[in-house]
Amino acid sequence: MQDYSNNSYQASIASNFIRSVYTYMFIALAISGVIAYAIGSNPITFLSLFSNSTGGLSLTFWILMFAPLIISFVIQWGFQRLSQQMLLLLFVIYSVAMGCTLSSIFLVYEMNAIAFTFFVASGAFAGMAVLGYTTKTDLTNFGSLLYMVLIGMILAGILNMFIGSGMLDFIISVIGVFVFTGLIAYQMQQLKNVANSPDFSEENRNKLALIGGLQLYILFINLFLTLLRLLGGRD
Amino acid sequence: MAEKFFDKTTGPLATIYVIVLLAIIAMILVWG
Repeated sequence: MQDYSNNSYQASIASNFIRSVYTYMFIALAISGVIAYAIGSNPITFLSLFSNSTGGLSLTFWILMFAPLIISFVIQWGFQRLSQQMLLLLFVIYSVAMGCTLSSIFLVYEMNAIAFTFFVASGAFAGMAVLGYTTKTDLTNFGSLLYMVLIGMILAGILNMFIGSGMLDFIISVIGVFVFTGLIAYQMQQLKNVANSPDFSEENRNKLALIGGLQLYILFINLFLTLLRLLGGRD
Repeated sequence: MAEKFFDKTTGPLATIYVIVLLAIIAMILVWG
């Protein structure tokens, strides 16, 4: 009886953790989505905020584009030194900055294509999250491999900005769909391990839920943008 | 202990790739 109540207590802590992860993820998505739509749905608003006198994109736009990288380093490397409130503030700034730069998709892609891709990405995300949570297979090696492929995709993507090959872009995007759906399953399994581990203090659990939510959010955005490159009908 | 579960490079790596994708979209926006 004692074991049973201990187990059910542990199970309720685990389900609370996963619920917190998803809450953080949806908060980030909501912040970014609302800001991206508010700015991007009206080209005049976008141009008044982010274009410079020569018709290019302003320095503010580029700063907002690179800010999430710095924030992600600070969050991931310093989470044990930072307070929960500071992490939450960085998390919100990350989502706001991402929303500002994501607004550009509304000027490049049709609204129908964006909505359709969002639903495809959501479906794929949900399927892989369930798979990652329920599978008995250890995905650790698989995840490490996928992150190595991701490094290759980053290098190839940067290289292709100078080459401009449509075929290479298509190949990277197709590989990207597999990499990000795989990483979502891998990350979900990692989060399940944290959820079921009795070794974390409540404070660390709260921080890890925030980081987990941010990681799932950024994987979702990657999957969404990669699918948008493929399904958006631009190239 | 937390490091056992979270590789410190995963978030930044995924963020770098988002930036690459957004930069490509920005290039389409500016140059068509």
